[in-house]
Amino acid sequence: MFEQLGYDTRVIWACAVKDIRSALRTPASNLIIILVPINFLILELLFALSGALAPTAVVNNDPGPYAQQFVQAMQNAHSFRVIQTTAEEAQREITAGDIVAIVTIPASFDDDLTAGRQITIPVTLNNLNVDFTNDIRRAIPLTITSFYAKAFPGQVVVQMSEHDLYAQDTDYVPYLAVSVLVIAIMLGGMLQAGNNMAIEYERETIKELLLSPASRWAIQVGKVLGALMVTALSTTAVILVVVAILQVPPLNWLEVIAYALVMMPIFGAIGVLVGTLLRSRRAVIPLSLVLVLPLFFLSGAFGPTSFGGGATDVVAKLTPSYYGIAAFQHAFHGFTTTPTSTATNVLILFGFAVLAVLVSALMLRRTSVAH
Amino acid sequence: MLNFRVIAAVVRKDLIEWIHQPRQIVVTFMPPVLLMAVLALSVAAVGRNKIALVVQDNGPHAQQLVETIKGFDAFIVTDATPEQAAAELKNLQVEAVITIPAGFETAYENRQPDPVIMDVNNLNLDFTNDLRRSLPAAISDFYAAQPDTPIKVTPQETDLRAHDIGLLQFQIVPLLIELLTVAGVVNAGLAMAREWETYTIKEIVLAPVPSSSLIVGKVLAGWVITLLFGAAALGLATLAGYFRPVGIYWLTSVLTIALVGLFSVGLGVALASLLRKEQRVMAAGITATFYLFFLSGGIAVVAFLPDWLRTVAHFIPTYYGIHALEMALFYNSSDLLGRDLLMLLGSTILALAVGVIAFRRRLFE
Repeated sequence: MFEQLGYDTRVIWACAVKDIRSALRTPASNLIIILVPINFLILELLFALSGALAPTAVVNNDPGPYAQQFVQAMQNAHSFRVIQTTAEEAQREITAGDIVAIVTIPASFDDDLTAGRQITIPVTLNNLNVDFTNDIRRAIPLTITSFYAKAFPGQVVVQMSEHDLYAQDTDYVPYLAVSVLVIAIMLGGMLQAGNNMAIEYERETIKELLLSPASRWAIQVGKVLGALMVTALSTTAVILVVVAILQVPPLNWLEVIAYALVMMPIFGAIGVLVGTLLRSRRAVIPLSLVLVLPLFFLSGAFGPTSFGGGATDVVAKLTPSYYGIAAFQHAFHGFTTTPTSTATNVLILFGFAVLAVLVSALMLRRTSVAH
Repeated sequence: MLNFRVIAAVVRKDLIEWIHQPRQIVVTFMPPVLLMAVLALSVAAVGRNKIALVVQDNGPHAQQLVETIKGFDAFIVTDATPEQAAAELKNLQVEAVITIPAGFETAYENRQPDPVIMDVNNLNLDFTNDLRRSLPAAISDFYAAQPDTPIKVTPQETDLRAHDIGLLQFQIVPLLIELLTVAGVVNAGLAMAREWETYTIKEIVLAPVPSSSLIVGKVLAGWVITLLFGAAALGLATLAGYFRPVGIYWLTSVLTIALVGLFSVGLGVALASLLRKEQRVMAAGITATFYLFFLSGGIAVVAFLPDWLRTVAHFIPTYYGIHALEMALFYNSSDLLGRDLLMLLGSTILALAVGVIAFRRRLFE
């Protein structure tokens, strides 16, 4: 038994060293695998930059203090990016698609308010889609109530009193950047390990591996370890981009390093499985690229999937990236984003890795018959 | 001079090769189909927050506020005791706990400050701001329903469009454009790159036929494949009731799809001439189409982007494709159609020119 274990260890080592040496001879391919995840990070952040504040023109026809307070209430409503402008300019901007709403404060706003007369505020909406249109439809009454609460505190007494679970809010980009980081590590691991496996089929060296007395699982573990060098470079690069360029420092560096070390072989194992199944780099590369985008949306990149509930939550729990994102959100921000603990998440990630190696070893055994 | 027999032969050959590449076909439709599936799964939760509601006052105004909160479309409400609510918040089953405290009614009647408490899991500003908007908006609705409401200011909404479009329906147009760009770039690009990889490019160069006919044939084959994908997607979405163009707007839709398709083919030809390896064309092509998708407002409405990114979006041809299709397919409108078609035509001519010049240069290297 010990003899077999020693032999398997030598197989693992030999496979890993061979893949690392091969990688060292192809710097251009390595560079691509390092750059693709960074590229993906940038791509996803373009989405994060869109934000949630509706660009809204305010045409204020009344210079009075209440009108000014109303504009201030709009700015504090967590809903608008307020642009004060003229009626003509506002019309031009909404036609060009640069803004999505125009709010016009009538010239008699202050006088009517003081006299207790009814006031109508015209709101023009570019109601392109119901998602942001409804946000604006909610935000206008909110503005009106907030304005009253400040201007006439004795009249509007019911107000929201907010207690936050965390000491400070986390903006969209810092939150999303950490989620993207996990997907980028996943992409790097899948591409490198998947390609390493697919090359064996393309060059038909897989025959030699399968004809040797080496156990299938040892070959696959060796392949996973062999992919680590390039994956580690790509992971370091994306972490540096997140920390140094996007200015998202982690709360706990040790956790970041530990989770990165755990996740790299896990995603490598999934890459080996993909490479074994597809047997062609032409298929591995597009599949990896194509899969990461929906996975990004599915696995709780924007927030805990349990908030959305339903099918998304169920599907997310079947993906390793869901647990990876939870682990990294904890390391960077101290958040708990899954009902399971961080330790459980890491254990589940290990489970995914073992499963991927076992399934790919099984596939290797089956394919060896057909090859 | 163009030789139509040569063009037809090249088109036929590329189409036959394409049919025998099932992986390529799968890769073409996977990005938009997977994104569509993800959107369909998650769209129900967009714009709605799960909350636990704790009611500690039984007065009539407190009950009115409870009904308003329960009927408010931004919330998915579960009733809870304070202990249950705290547990649900801790276990991430709800995003916030809203408590109407004991003494609410008395404070309301006496016109004293009357807080409604909201405990929020503020781990992400996006969710948190939704809640910060929604509860005060519900309070506004509560006040609006009071016969003696002190609020005299009311909004009067005028919509630019005849009807609202649901989020899922709205996203189908960018996904259709994504499908067209992937189809054009990947299929035309791979058909070209394959000639270099299998060394059949030598035979093409040595063949006694005009090179212009070969190039036209290649472009045409890529365009036909792209249009097949476009026609299938347009047909399916129309049958499903997502698109409803009428009369002339069918024509503007088809014209837009044709131009976006041709632009993508030009881009694919240029990439293939530059990279000459299938793997590289595939990796660069798919990444490029994702950039086009995101920068042209594929996920977000362009107006919400920062100024610099909005400026960039105006240089992205697919931005005009998305706008033209949205107008035609959702609103039966020709709003800015001239601008959109002109920009698409210009981009298509430019992409084809770059693609053809790059191909010719590589051909005779």
